[in-house]
Amino acid sequence: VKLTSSEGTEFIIDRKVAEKSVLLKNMLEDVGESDMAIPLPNVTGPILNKVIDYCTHHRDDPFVSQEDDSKKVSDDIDDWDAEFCKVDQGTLFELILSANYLDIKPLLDLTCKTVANMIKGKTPDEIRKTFNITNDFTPEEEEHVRKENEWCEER
Amino acid sequence: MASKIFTGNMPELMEKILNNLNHEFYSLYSCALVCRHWCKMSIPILWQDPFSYSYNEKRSLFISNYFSSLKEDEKFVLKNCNIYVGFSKTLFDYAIFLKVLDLYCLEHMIKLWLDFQLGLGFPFLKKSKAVYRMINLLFKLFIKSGATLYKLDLSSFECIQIKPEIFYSLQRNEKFFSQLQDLSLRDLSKFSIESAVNLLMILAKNARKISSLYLEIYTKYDPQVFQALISIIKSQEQLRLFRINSGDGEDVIEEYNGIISALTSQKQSLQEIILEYCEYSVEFEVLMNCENLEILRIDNSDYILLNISGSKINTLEVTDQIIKTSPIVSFLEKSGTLLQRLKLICSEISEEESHLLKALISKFLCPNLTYLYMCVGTFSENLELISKLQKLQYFTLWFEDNISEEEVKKFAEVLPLTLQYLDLIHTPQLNSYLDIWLNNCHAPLKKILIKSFDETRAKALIEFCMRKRTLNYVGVSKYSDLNDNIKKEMEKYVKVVPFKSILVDY
Repeated sequence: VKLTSSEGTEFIIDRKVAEKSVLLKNMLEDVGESDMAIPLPNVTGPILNKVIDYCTHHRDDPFVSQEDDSKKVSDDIDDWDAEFCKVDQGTLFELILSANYLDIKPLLDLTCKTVANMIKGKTPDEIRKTFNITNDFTPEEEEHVRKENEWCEER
Repeated sequence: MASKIFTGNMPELMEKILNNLNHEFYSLYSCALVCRHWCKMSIPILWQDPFSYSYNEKRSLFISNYFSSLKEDEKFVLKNCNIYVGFSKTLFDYAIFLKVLDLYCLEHMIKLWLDFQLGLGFPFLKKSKAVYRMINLLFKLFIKSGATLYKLDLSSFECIQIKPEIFYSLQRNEKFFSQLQDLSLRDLSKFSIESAVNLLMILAKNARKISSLYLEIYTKYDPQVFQALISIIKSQEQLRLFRINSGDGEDVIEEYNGIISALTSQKQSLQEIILEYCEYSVEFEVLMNCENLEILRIDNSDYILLNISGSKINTLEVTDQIIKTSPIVSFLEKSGTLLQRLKLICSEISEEESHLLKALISKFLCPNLTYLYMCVGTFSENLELISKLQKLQYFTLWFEDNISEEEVKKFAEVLPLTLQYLDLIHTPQLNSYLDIWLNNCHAPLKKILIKSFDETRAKALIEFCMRKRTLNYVGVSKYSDLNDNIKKEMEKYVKVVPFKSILVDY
């Protein structure tokens, strides 16, 4: 299967790897056998490369359906996956967007979980600094939110 | 610049990220205080299940936030309960975010809230009436707010009368139960028959997406209640887990009044059955037709139930006072090669266990086990068994007797090279000899669960980390007793967590 990233770089991958993406799987089923490259205008070359790495490593994993979510109980991340997610913040967010666009649920779950772990246990100010977010609350609004939710401070 | 995921362009992705923090109240609270957009995204998650966590009076104060939307006639209910506090307008209509409603937790939290509002000296009878009124008031408020529940647990400390207006509201707001996935119906005799039947019939009509259903069955139930329960089972599109407890306490239930037979409507979807205190009834034969039934857990129930569970079982859990060998062995002779997960729990030791272990070893009945939880047999029998299980990944051993140093070494040596998870919390001798077995262990363990560690054992764990480079977590049951300095030193190499935070999905 041939894929073209947003800058026009071409990637050739196994069909089984491509089919980890529900978007590509559906496209391939619709089109059938073809030499035409599938354009992916929303994914850059370096990110597509990472996504292919992920899909290749997990090529033999069973398909995870939406309903299987209820079975997830541990917030533990597999070693290879943890290593895979050791990237800069920009890349991590690009991976989330690409996993969402290509409809690769396990990759989307993994990257979202990694970002959630970056939030866990932090104060509001630490979260703002980590993700470069501006506080647009007025002092009154902030106080109001704090007051209505201060029960969360009780352990 | 912040990612567009966090600035409002992709709310569905931000929601997906924040959903991972569900029940992390403190983290979600922090998120709500980051900026306006983060507040809008995290508050609905924070308020999905506020009743479930931590029971202290101050914590219960969140309940006040629900009352700002009450109309004058509804505020009258509070005045009747001697509550005259004013409730200012809130930023959100918090009731709409509720996803989990557990009547037991609701009742408990209301009692705490009332203690805070009225003081502990308030007359008991008056307080009981106030609790009852408040339950009804909040229930109605949640229904009318437009909330959609995912989980409902009907249990209660005391007998509860549900007011007719609640049923009226439920009939008008079909949405409330329409997304229900998890339903637990405990002792329904705490409700009047009329209330229970009305509620169950509304559930049968409006809740059709339940995937997990738990029923407690009592002989004292009215036939109408049984009929309504059957209607609930039959009206489901895809029931996956069915758990039934007929431990009535007084009478043994032999007739299930069609409840088990009703599962025939779910024979395609049913994957897991949990039977607690169940006697055999011919109704259970229906399980033989459940084509996708893979998980069977029987707890203090008739062992004949093992024989009617179809042929695809890959997970078996048996809990009993004394484990009976022959029915388990004959089950394993039939389905042992398919079995991947086996859990045996008993509270009394008997000679039968040795027969079971011997059969497991000599007949090599379960060669494909990846998960094993054992609290039966002698230590040497367990050693022999695990040495044969070359696919074992998760192992919990519960053994409280003495073990020699020689046996400890042997234990370390026979652990399969596939083993990732080892729980020794209930094996005190292996906790004491932690350094000895770790020094002799070749298994690539990722998680070890132990009671505690001192300096010597911490050193052995660190050495194991450095030697194997696989260990990620050490779960400790006496986590709060750990020495801070030793823990800090350990955490340079491996995460140390309370044992409860390491979960196995088996």
